[in-house]
Amino acid sequence: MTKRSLSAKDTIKPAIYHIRVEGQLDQSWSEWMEGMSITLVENGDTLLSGPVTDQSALYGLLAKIRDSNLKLLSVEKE
Amino acid sequence: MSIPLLTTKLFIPIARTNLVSRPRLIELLNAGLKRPLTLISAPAGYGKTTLMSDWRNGFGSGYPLAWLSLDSEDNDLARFFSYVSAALKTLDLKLPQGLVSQLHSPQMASVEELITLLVNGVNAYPKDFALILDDYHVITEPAIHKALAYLLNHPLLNMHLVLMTRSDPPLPLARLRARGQMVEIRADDLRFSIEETTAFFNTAMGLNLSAENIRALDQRAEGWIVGLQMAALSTRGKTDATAFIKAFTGSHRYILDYFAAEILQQQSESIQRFLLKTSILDRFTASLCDAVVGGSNNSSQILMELEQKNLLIIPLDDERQWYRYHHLFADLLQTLLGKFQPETIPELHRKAAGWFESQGLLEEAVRQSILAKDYELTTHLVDQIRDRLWGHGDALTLLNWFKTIPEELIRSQPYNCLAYASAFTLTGQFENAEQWFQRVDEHILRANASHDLSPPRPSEVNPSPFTPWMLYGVDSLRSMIARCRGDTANAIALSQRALEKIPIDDVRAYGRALFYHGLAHFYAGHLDEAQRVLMEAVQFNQVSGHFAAYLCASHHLARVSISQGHLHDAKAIYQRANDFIAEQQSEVFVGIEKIGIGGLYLEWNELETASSYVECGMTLAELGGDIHFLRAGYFAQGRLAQARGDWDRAQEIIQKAEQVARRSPTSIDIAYMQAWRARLHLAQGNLAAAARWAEKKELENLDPTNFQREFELLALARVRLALGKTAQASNLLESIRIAAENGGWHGLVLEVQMLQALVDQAAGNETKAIDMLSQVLTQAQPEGYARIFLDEGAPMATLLYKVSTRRTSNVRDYAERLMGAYFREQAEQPIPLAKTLHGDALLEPLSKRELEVLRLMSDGCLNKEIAKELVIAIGTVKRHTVNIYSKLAVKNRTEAVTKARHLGLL
Repeated sequence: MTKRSLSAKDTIKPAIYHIRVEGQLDQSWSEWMEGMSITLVENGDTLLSGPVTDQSALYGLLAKIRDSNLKLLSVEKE
Repeated sequence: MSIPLLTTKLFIPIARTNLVSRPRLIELLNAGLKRPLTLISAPAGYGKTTLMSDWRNGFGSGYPLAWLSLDSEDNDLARFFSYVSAALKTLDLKLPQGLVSQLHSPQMASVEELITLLVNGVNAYPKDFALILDDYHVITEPAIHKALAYLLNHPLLNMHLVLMTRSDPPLPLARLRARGQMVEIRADDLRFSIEETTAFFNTAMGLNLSAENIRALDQRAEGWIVGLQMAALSTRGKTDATAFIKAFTGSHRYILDYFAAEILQQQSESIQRFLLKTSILDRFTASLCDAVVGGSNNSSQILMELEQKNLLIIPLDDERQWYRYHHLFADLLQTLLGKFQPETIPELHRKAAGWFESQGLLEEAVRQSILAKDYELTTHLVDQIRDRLWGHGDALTLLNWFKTIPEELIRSQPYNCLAYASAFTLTGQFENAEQWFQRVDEHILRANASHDLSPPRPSEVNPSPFTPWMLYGVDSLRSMIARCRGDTANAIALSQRALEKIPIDDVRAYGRALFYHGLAHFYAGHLDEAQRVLMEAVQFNQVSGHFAAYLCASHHLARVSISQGHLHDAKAIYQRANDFIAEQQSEVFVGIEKIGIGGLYLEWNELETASSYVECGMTLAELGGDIHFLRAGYFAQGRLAQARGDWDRAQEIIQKAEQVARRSPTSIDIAYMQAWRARLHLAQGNLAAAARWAEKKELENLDPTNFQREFELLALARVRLALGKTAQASNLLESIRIAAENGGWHGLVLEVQMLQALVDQAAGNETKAIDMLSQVLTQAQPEGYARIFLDEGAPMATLLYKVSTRRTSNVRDYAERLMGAYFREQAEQPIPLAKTLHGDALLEPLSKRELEVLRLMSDGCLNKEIAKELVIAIGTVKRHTVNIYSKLAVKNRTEAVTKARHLGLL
């Protein structure tokens, strides 16, 4: 195996994402949101944080947010 | 009568009558009907579905609406289009006719072909209508988006598309917007205004809240309808509404969280349990809920109660059989179920699977068993549904299910290995099939080594690891693959081996294996052996009561007789089968016995009788959906259309037949259809198209002794003859004749010699031609052959005439009768201008003279030369040319010739 393919493989780790939505979510949503941890922010918003396997997992998560009519404020990668 | 689950996807959900009316949005929707697309794009809970339901109620039945609710499983082009067809069928059964037979074919048509089929159907429909696709956001398959984009790029005049979605679809929306081709209804349009919120709380829900309370609620929920609905439901149980509303509006909590627990708590314990458990179902009936919830079986009462309370439940049909929850509510309930009782979820799916199984909804049962991750159950269910899906040529669905089952589980069970292998076999993936055959072999070897070859125990629910099918199935299927590959020797050996493994008292299995064996002999050309084996197969399958196999065996037995040139014997075989089936209590959806009788009457040129038998058989074949019978039926229908000179109809049928042939595991079926098309081209005088086909066929170098390809070979000989390659045609015919003669294929010999007579005539050997045809006629007369001659057209008529003038007695009478039939047919048929292609037809047909001029033009003749050739004045030629240009709508000779070629006039 070449060095290059090794390093390419090494970088494929789930990235940590922080997704901010409007309103306060109950802790019980964590499981529905693929185990993202739920933190309430002081201004009344909620931060969903945690590892996301890949882009399609991220879109799946965003679709769940959409389907619950939660207002999406920002998505950031750590 | 119970409503099948699948059709619930085609119902427009029923709006509750006491909600708020929204005239402004209805107007927008009406305006949308004048554009190709209406896009309703908003998150869940904005009342999209309710709006559509109101809209529908406003129309009554005045404006046709076709509805389709999409699911994430519909992310497959074939499946998507089959549902679209089903939706269109609710308007008119014939509308999607072309599309329907495309379902689940392993070699699917392209997006463009599918759209063309759709467009043809829609164009023929006389009214304006709307096709509404609900929940379009679940679609992620690029091919489906591509199909819709294509459709919107070539909008249809009478079809309006309405897309309902939670996020904007990947379509060229900006362009549609800019061109004014789209009406949009978005979240902002949908959210309740303060007036609507007031009407909702105070009139619809009867809460009589103060203006201040309503304003507070409206602000907090921002007009989000489902949020307001939940607020209303929660408030209803409160004595101090104002305090409750104040607490809510002061909170930042997500609205659904805030109310969900509240609403749930207000319900009795049994309703709470009911809601949580049934939340795993996409759609449900009272009886299904009873099965899933268990206990007191009072689901129909509970459902009624939920509906009365407006508890986010939506009836899906007029008869209140099927329901679903509001999507958001279902999600919420599922979350709660996952939180409180995650361990019960697989069991709930398993119970649902059991219910679907008991209702005969096996496909849905399979789906639930997969959700339960109970793959043992999945394989058990798949086993029950397998034969039916195969018969329908829908092996692809089977294959997809198998792919969800963990491979180790399939591997561990020889029975499953075989089932997987058969799914591969029937989708034409022979290499993959072989891999799994080998795994079955390994199992059997291991079992043999440990003397564990236990006898089958029919009492068991799960098949014992080595059923009879296990022991002979591999050989039977391998025999089929060998046959498809043209390796007939191997096909015979394998099917023989299968027979040897089955105890003769297992009548059903033995009958089936006999059939495979007989078929192998038939395609190897051994008619006598095939006849012997198939006769036995007919008897065994009659005794075992496997009527489809019985009819199949009878059909092939009759084919043997036809190949031997014994049409009356064939008729007797079909007739016997027909009478036997008529005596049975149960309905048998095969129809091949009737199609077969029709085919024989067709050969005898009794077209009316033929047609009524064929149509009758086709009705049954279509209900059964088996591709082999359908194909035979289409072939008979096509030949009938051809006999009547109805080329358009013949083309239409050939197209259907091709779609069916695509679902066959072997490409020979497609090759057959292409050969048929070539013959049709020849009959219509479109030599160029026929020659193009022949050019490719020549390269294949087909073995003239391969009886599976006999139809293609004879078509090839016909094209060679038409192209004037008489020597090559002769060579080919001679090779076929020798093989046919040796194998006892006297029916085939007749056809070959009849063609040989035509070749001789074309080559100028008139005496030889007359002798040959006289000989053929002598042999053909007792069996009453007619179409075989009539289908060859004018050259045959000429030759028959010559025979009738030179010969005496019987043959002359026969020849004269055939000629009489030919000329009667010609007189009844439209002039050859039916030749123009679909969709590009000429407004005014060319006259016979104009066609002659056109032909000379295409040969590069100058006007002077044309005048000389046709013995007319140059001025007349010029007049003809002007007429030709105007009828073809072209400006010059080159264009005229190109267009004429395109139209098949040359």
